[in-house]
Amino acid sequence: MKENISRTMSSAALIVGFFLIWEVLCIAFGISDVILPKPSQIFLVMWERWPALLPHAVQTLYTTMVGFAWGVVLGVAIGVLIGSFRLAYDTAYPLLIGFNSIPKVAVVPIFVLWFGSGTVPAILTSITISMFPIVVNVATGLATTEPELEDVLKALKATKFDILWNVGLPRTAPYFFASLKVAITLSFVGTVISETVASNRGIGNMMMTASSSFNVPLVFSGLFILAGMGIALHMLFSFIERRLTHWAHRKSEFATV
Amino acid sequence: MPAITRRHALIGAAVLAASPAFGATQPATRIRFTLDWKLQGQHAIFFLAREKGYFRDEGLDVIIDQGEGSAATITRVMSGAYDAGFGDINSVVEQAAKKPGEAPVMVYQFYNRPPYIIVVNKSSPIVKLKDFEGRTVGAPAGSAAARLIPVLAKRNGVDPAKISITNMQLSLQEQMLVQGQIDAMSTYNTTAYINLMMQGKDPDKDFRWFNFGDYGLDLYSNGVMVSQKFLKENPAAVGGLVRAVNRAVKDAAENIDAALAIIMKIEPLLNLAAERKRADYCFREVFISSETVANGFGDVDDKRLSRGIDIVVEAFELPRTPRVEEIFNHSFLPPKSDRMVSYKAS
Repeated sequence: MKENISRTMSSAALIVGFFLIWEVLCIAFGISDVILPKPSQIFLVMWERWPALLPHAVQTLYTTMVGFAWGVVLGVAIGVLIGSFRLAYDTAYPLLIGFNSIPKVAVVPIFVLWFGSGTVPAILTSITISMFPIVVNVATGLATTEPELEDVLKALKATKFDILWNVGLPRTAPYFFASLKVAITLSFVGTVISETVASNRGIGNMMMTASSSFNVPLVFSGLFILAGMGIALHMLFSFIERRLTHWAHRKSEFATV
Repeated sequence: MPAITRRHALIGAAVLAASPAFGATQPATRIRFTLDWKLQGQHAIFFLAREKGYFRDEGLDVIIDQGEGSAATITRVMSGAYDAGFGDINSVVEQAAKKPGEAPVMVYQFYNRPPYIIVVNKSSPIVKLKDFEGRTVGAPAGSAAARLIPVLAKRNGVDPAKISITNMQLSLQEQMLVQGQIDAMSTYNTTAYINLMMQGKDPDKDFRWFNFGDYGLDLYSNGVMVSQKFLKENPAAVGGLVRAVNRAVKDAAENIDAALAIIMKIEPLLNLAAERKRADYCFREVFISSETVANGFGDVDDKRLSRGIDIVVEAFELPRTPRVEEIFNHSFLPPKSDRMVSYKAS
């Protein structure tokens, strides 16, 4: 326990130190706030403009969560399909890899032509970008189910669905939750990409507006908000992961993050 | 749970009929409207029309989305994602020549004087159009101004192939010009003038301006356009849209600060001082001209438009020359006496 506290303290001190060094370097080299604002200035701007920033943050969070939720649903469905059927694996995998290789920023204008600008393209971008790691991990999890176990179950007259439900999916859980942590941060990336291209609200849009009026501290406060939300959600999913799949973690160090 | 009797139903109907929301009007016609750009001061006009209920008075429910460039408005409307928008008339001409049935139609003109410009630093060796040969001009991809550079070049005996255009994000071009990373930038003066001022520069003293209007390109520019489909299906709604926008233009010209207060409420992170200057600049330098004073705001002069169409057709080597009626539909304009706009700079 004591060890834990000192570990937390030292990491907190290092994070604070990071911002301090940033601050000091800005002052020491007299860097203009149009190039790189000081952290103190960024936090001040965030504090002062919070009522105006809040609706943007809420929009981004909402879009990300909707996109992420759909990404999880579709990701699991496709992952199960690919992991369970040879034919699905052979056809869907190349397609998915091809699709994932397309930079999402190139897809946004197409979504805008189809659905107009705003929330819909942001959600779609978020889905497309967050789905991939989930598909891959779920499919891998299913593929690593021991064949001996399957054979035993088959001998006991278990159907394919029984095996999937009782063995395959629980075995996949550690892979699945690990992928959620990656997917949630990617989901933010997708939303913000879309917001910078075409939207009326959201952190991405706010950063574009701020940078077109050269308000660089405001741009950075947008980045900080994104980072903050990303960290918070990552921690949330780490926590859920630890609660639900603690049986799979054999070592205590590093395993939680 | 009691059974629903005839009496209950009658009472229910009476209550519904008595409530003002029900039965008073038909459901509002929804219009998806795209702006030309991220929010700027002059867009306050459209938000004023929405917030003051001018659209509602005409039975319209207008959804206003921010845009990606004045030329991009045309693609957005043509794709069917939007019914109407604020964008560049010359890009409409281009599409009308290529895809006659699909191009949007202009119904209300805003930018009466051409806003297209190229700006260079005062210290730059570029002093006349010919000097642009071998140079790089920066502009955002959806920019209507950059699309007209070949036109400008041809009209003035400059080889368009020798001017290279590089695309960059709209928020970066002024910075890159000031830092000398590009030789010149091309955009709308409404955007550039204020943004350069925001960079701590004097737009008149520190830069050299090439206004397309001074080089034989006496073109109209942005205005309100609607899709042909929407115009056919909802002519009454188009009339309402134009009337509401016209009312808002007059309000904004009377009291620009009240209009800006509305857009600041929608996006408090805008820089009010800068957007006020921008709106003011738009009215003084681009919206109002001797022509709008004589003919009323919102209209176009068919002869001048016809010259403009010829310029665009020639420049882009378009397959056909669209007729004036294909580009601008005068029939929705309110009477001239309702369109007399005079700007009161405070």
